[in-house]
Amino acid sequence: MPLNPFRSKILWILFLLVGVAIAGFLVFGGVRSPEKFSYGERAVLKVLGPVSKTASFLGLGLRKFWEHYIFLVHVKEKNEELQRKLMALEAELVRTKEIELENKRLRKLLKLAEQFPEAHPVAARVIGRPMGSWQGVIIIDRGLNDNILPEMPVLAYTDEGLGAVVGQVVAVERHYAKVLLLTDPSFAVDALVQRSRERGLLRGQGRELCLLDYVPAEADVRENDLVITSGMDALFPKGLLLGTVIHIYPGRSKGLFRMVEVRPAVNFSKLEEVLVLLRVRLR
Amino acid sequence: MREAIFLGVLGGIFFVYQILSFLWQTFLPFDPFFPVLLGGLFWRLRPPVFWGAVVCCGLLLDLFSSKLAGPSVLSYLISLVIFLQFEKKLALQGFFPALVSLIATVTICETLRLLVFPALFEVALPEPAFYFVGKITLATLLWSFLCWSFCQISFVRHVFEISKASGSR
Repeated sequence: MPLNPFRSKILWILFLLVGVAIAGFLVFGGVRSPEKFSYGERAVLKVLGPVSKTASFLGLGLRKFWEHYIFLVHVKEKNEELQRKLMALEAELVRTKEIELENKRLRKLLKLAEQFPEAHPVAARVIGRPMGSWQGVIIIDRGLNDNILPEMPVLAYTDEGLGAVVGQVVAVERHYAKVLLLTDPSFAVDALVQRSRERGLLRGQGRELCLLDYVPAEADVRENDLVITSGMDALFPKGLLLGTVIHIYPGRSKGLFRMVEVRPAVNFSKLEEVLVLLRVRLR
Repeated sequence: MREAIFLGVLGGIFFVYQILSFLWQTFLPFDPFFPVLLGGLFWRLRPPVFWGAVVCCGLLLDLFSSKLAGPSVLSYLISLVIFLQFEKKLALQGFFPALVSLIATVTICETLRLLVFPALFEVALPEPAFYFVGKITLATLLWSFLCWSFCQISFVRHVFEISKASGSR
């Protein structure tokens, strides 16, 4: 028997209300828990985390294939030049290789065992990049199962092999975690100019550069100065590399301060692995 | 079958987008899902499947690009309802009304997603915010035109049985 229009309308409204309730539960349910992921996000991450992981592996593989086998313009000239350099470097290489390997082992041991003896660093792979947004977040393949919790600091090695700040964990799931990058406008860290010990607050800008704010107008800051963590925020250990000063705005901002532009030490577009320091600081 | 293709397309877009993001960093990042969801309105999908996909895509986008859960889901729902109103009230007669509706809906969606809801949830905005939002909106519009053009191809129209009542094609 067909439903009369009134009953059909009631059913539609009920259907709509149930739909809205389910959507609301998925979007907002569970965000107040320590994990900070909503129930919906957790479910989606469980299903699509492995898809993203596969995509990241495939993407990196394709990039390497492109760079090594396809994009070979000027390769002949380069090859000849490299042949000449190679001969001179070969002798040096054997000696340096040994020193480098020893250095790498010692540096890793030293950094992981002595620099953060209480932090128990965990290595993680980047499996998700930001999608269509100015916000700087990445997804890593370690989570609650590896004792990772929100607010934990995340580091990576720079091209020079130094440990530098990537950001901090903002949400975790059993096998995955979301990391807020240094370049996100919500990110701020207490910082020091290494040479002159001038203090400031390093903030993300939503692009590849950061801003060192609240630096006194008379402060001694120069281009190419290194910026490090001050350790005053009780979150990041003191002395971790943040970036390099690339520009100092002339004049004063907010009356008393000057603004300094900083390029992060980590190249976020090439970020593949990170190190999470398990130093918990829960509110 | 149509539902499976639709969900497969969304999953495929996510997969390819992630591959591309690991290949290189684009100057013009775009919202990969909204234009496809907008097109999906014409594919006569069952409402629970379509609106479920909308919520899931919003959640996925928030998961991978936002500090908070919610902005994308809310902006997707609002924008798609606005587009339905456009279609209902204007009947989208001809090329220009459809084009204007498309531009308006995408702009509203991306502004809500990237600017209004983050600001309401007290997420710090980038400086200059309008430059970033404008860039992503522009790139999403380009992606929308591509999707729209794709939907004009006769075999796609046949597969998805695009409604003849609407003049947006």
